[in-house]
Amino acid sequence: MADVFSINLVVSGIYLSMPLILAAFGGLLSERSGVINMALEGEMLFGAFSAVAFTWWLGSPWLGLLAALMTGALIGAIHAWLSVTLRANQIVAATAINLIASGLTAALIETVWGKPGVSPSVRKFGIVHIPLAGHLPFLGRIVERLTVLDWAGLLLAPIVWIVLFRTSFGLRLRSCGEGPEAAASVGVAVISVRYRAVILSGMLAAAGGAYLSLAQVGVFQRNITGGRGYLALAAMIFGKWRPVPVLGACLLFGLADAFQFRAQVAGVNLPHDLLLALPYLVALVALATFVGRASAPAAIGKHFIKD
Amino acid sequence: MTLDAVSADLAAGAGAPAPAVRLRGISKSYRGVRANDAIDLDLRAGSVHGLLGENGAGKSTLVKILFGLIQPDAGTIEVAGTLRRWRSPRDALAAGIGMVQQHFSLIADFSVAENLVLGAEPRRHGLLDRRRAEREVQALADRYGFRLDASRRVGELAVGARQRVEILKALHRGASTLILDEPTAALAPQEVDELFGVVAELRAQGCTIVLITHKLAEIVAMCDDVTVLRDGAVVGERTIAAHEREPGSAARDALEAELAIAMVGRSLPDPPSRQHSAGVTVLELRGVADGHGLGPLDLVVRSGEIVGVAGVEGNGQTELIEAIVGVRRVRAGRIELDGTDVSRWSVRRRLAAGLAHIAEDRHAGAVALDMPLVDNCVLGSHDRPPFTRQRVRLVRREMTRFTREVIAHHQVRVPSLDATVGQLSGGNQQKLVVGREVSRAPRLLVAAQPTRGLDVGATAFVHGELAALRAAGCAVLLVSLDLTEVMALSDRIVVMRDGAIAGEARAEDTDVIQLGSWMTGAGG
Ligand SMILES: Nc1ncnc2c1ncn2[C@@H]1O[C@H](COP(=O)(O)OP(=O)(O)OP(=O)(O)O)[C@@H](O)[C@H]1O
Ligand SMILES: [Mg+2]
Repeated sequence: MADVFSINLVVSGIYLSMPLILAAFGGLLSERSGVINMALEGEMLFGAFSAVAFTWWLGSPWLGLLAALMTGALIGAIHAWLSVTLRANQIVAATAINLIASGLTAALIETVWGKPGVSPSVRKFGIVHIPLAGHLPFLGRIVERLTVLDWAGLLLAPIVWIVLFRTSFGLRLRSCGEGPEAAASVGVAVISVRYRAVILSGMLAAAGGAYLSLAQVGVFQRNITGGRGYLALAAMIFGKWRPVPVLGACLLFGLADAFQFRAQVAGVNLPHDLLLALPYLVALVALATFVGRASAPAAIGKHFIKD
Repeated sequence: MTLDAVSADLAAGAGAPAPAVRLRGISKSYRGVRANDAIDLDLRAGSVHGLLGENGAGKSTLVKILFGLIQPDAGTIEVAGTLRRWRSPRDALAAGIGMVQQHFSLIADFSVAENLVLGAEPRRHGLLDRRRAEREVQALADRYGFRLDASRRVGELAVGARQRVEILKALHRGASTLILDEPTAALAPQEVDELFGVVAELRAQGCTIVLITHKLAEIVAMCDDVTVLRDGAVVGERTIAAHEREPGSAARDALEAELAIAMVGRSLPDPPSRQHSAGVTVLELRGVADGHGLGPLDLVVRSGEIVGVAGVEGNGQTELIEAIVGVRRVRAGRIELDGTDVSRWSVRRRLAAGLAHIAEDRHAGAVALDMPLVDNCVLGSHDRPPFTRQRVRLVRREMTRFTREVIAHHQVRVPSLDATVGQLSGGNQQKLVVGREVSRAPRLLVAAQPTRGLDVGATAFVHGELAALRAAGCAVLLVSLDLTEVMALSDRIVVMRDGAIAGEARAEDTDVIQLGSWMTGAGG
């Protein structure tokens, strides 16, 4: 049992929270602009699939990541078109995207690789060595095992924070989520800002998917995300739409996931399915107990009609 | 000078400087209702121009046209001698015309400075220059003598301060003509004073101001010119001379009477007289506290009596109302209605037991703006006969009949019976709510700011309604920020401070000074 709580737990907790972080920050950008983003799950799946498919075709995980980002942008654009331009119900539009993602990527495995269920292994992202990092106490063991995407993910919180709160783009983005009419009355192009936010959101969620498939396992398998998009959404809500708490929530859920893995390996005497559900249970309890009111952007989910 | 003589004067334009804004022949109709009917209006540069008129007279419509929010059917707008046409408020703003609407357009989550610079943010090294934004906004506020902290979040500000932010926002964007549509309706008396200080300062710095209010005293105190509208047309305009502003002077009384008659087309009824026949106890609060700011507090309201609750806004009045109505949980004490403890009862059960409630904020607490009149009119009694039969079936015929009755009896101006409440003017929405609650023939009426946004005629009418309910043996709890209203209507007055009762007196045994000292906790 002692082995369950070790430094490795922290290390793998960080790994496992990385896809959540990427996707949750995507969701944050979209929702802060006033568009509910339930489509994170679908966007992650599409990202995970294109990352593996293009790495397999082109031989480079870099090109795979690039393809994932482009796919994410495309899906984000479709999502924005549905939710912003057509003013469809944002929950329904996103659910449609998720369903299509799940069906289409599963079907494409067979089309592309000729057998159902799982792709062949592809090259994973290399580990980036930072000289002498191994000698740092505690942190060294984490730092020396980070991939490029890990770095991107860890830097995301401060970057998103700066963009949201220290740039004029961020101010306008938030104004679209808090008071689109007021924003439009002073010349903010609400529709265009929301498009950009939702497309960025799709790209980040796709990067989260690419992390799952390219950095962690090196294959694509059907429904590889297994609800992590929703978990990211929960982390975003639990973090009250604020970058630093959202990061914290992702790490918490990641740790719960890591704990569950290690507990299985260590043979803890709990039903397998219950252990698997642990991060989701943690999310559920977190949301039910800690969420205060009135922390969501004031105009979230409200369509904007340009006159 | 009579109104007509002045109109002739103004028409001749005797040697006066060119007006800052000149409206000619402005007309606007909504499905048969002539909201504005060939209105001419001149705003002199650097003056405060009052707009008076009954509820639905067309004041808001006129200023919305001036601000480009709605398009007139006919008529022209001239600014500084040039003919203009707005496609949107942004065009109007570019020409120097700004407006503070009855409902604010600020982002609560943003700071004052962020609200003001949004759309034209100062930048440094590609980042938002927040310090410069705050410095500039603070400088602007200080220049006009506004008491404001540019770095505060707007959501934390009181109504009066938010209004100053709105005004500042218009000024920041270059407005030199400023429209204020009922700016005082939601303000506490001290905030009104502060607002008028701001208006005076703006005028001194050369701004032109349009002020809409239903309070004659405010018009007389603040305005240089006043225009009276009735049924969408101008029925009088005149300038106000300095000697007519003297409080208590005969000239001032004459002016107020003249304006009131021009507005309503008749003189106003006398205020209802008091009677002294309080009967059995209807509402009794004993040691009521909500565990936050409210209480512990005792209060009794008897049948046939109006008890007025006075106090500075935010001293627990809202919480008290919520506790009595049943939307705030009471942690200690008893609330008795006709001798039964109802403190654990649902709102619905209390309503069924004879409670009626005129909500403080009608949009949040009384009507659904997008729903038809008829549906709104039966809200609260919708689940009972005659509107519901066999406990489930809504009887539309009865609902319509009742609505017609309320509208006719309370003189609510409606475009048509199938209109939504949102299509009524603000004052008419309020009349509908008052009519609905009064028509229930309640045992207890909780009336919170019952005349907010009402014109003088409608205010007198509502006061008459409350007095009639009292005569019929209803117990009335009147909560109002307007001390004059509380003093004119109540048999007994209680003053709230910090969630508790700071003083209580019979209306005829007290005066403004004593009430004021209870309200502020000074001396007394
Ligand atoms: N969108 C609309 N649809 C239909 N009728 C309207 C609409 N807006 C205003 N009206 C009608 O036009 C008339 C004038 O309304 P307006 O809001 O200008 O009155 P007001 O003088 O501002 O009244 P108040 O003092 O009550 O605010 C009213 O009869 C109102 O019912
Ligand atoms: Mg109005």
